[in-house]
Amino acid sequence: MTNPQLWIAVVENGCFFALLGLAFYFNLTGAGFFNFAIGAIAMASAFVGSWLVTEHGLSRPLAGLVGVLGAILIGAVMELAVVRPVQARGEGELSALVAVGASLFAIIQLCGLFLGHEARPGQPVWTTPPFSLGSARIGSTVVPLVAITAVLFTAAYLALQHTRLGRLTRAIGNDTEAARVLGLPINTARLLSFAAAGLIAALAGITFAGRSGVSPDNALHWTITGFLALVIGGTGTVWAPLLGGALLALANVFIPFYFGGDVLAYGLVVVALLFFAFRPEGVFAPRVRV
Amino acid sequence: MTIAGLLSLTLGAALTGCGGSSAGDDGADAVVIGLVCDTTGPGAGYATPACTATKATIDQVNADGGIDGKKIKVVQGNDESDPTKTPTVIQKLVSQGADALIMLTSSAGVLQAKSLIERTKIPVFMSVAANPLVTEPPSNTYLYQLGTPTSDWATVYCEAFASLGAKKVAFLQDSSPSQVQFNQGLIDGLDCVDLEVVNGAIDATDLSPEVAKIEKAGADAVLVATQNANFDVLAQNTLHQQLPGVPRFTELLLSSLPSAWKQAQPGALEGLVGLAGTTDTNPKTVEVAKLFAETEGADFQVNNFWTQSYDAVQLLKQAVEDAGSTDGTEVNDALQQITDYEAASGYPGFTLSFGKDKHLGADGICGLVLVQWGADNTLTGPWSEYEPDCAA
Repeated sequence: MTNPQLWIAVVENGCFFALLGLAFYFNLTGAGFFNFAIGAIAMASAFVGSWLVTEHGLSRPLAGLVGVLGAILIGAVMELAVVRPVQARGEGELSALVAVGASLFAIIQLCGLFLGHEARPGQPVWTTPPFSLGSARIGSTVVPLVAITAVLFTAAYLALQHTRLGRLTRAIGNDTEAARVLGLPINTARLLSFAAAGLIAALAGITFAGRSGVSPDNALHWTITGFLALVIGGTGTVWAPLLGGALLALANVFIPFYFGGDVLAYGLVVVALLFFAFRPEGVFAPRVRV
Repeated sequence: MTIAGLLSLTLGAALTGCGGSSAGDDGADAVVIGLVCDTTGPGAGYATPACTATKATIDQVNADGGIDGKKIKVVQGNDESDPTKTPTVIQKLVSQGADALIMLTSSAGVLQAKSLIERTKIPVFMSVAANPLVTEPPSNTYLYQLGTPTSDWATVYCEAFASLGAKKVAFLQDSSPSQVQFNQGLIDGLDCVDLEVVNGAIDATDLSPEVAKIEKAGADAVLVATQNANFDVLAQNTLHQQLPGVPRFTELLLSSLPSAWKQAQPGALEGLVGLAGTTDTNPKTVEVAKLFAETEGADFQVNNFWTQSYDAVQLLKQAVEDAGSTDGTEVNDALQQITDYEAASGYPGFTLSFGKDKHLGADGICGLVLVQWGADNTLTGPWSEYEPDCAA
């Protein structure tokens, strides 16, 4: 564990996992709902952005903007056209989760159908020249990922803790029925949480895809990764996905190093099972006032 | 028809999904080739161009009058490289009248379907596969491969490592079961060096831990052994960044996928040496490339997926003509009489031959070409340190 290169990998992967976890957290906080399409939204924004750059000659910033706006739109459409109608029919949370799961596969298939199943090169909006830090090499996406993570987590904290809309969103997510009785703007808060989750997922996907490209096959893996970051970190604070992402990245880097890459999947299953069994609320559990 | 038969056909139709028209009506006036193309699964990277090349060659044969005056008709299925789907897809194509099959899919699926293929009694070509287990007994009577086997890859790599003086070599492979099985023959053949096998998850987001292990092992060279382009590119990005002075090699896939080179970070492929199947020193390769360029455009770059797909169709054409029939057993017997077929792949002089006990077409190692990438992540041409010899 003394190899600094491995710790750089922990930081880079941890930031990506944490951002996906933060997207999950926003949906959960604002809508009391796990959006299992997060990985697909992250993939689609990076994949479409790459297609626009390589096939249509758009500049990276413009393609990135389209990718981000598209992700926000997908998030909003999922709430308006998928989740809300299902829940409005009184079919419960399970039906809505199934519908969102179907959306994940629909996004994957639509990307494959219209843009092809082959991987595309990542087109990150911001990269830095690779440089050395001691004996470690810092790749072109490390600094942007760390910076975006810092900015988004700080912004999320400030927005949820120190703005009226943020407090309102948390209140609605905590107890939607009570919020409904009180006449709070539930629909607006839910819509904003889905859109914010799309924004965060898009920025994560577009930046991380700069490492070695993106393909529709990434979507499911990214969804599971973000979900695990939230499961491990918990939902007690906005910083929880950051810790969850970091712990998950530690497992992702050091399990292959010490036990081999073929053990990674089993190792992650063990970690997940341990949390589900002994700490299902994650490291940071929500505090409940009685 | 029995209920089981009806169910089998219904399932087959559901699983094969895409197309091809039925040959039932006019199959007697045509030579029907069943084409299994994994265009949407993990093999899409190589199966898509190979499928396009196969169809383009068939179009060319038809334009030239067909086979003994009969047009070739294509019926197509897609098993998505899923071994559980492969037998059903094969049954569907056979039920549509296929006289021969060309499988552009994972060898794992064909391995599952070997006994079924033996019962169908029609020739089956794995045009671009390189897994020798496919054509080994038992149940190999009708199975053929054009790709050079991994044992030949090992011979070429050993010569290449020797030319660099590399004695300890890291073998970085993706740990998917099919890849591990595929690589086993290659690992067995690399007894010329001290091999350090390092496994990485096929869907890994980072290969820094694996590269750190390679660095710790003190390898003189690294061979990335995968048929997954994403894994290969991630590995090359990481190796380029973290082990810049260590010579790198890769398997046959990356040289044939220019689209994947763009995924690599700037300069990440510089110096990389990979296996390829074509060189413009072979006049037949150049001739075939011109043929495909007519439909693919001036920017078309030929590789072994295209040339081997071309050869598979030409070999089937020759076998049907020699047999004077589309009967599977007769065509199979005719195929086994073909020797010294001048291939569109490899160096000039590279030939393909078949026989009752020879189902791997390659005659020698000069079907393989070692190529090198430049600073702009594109191929610069054959590697200058070592070239496989047709006389070897």
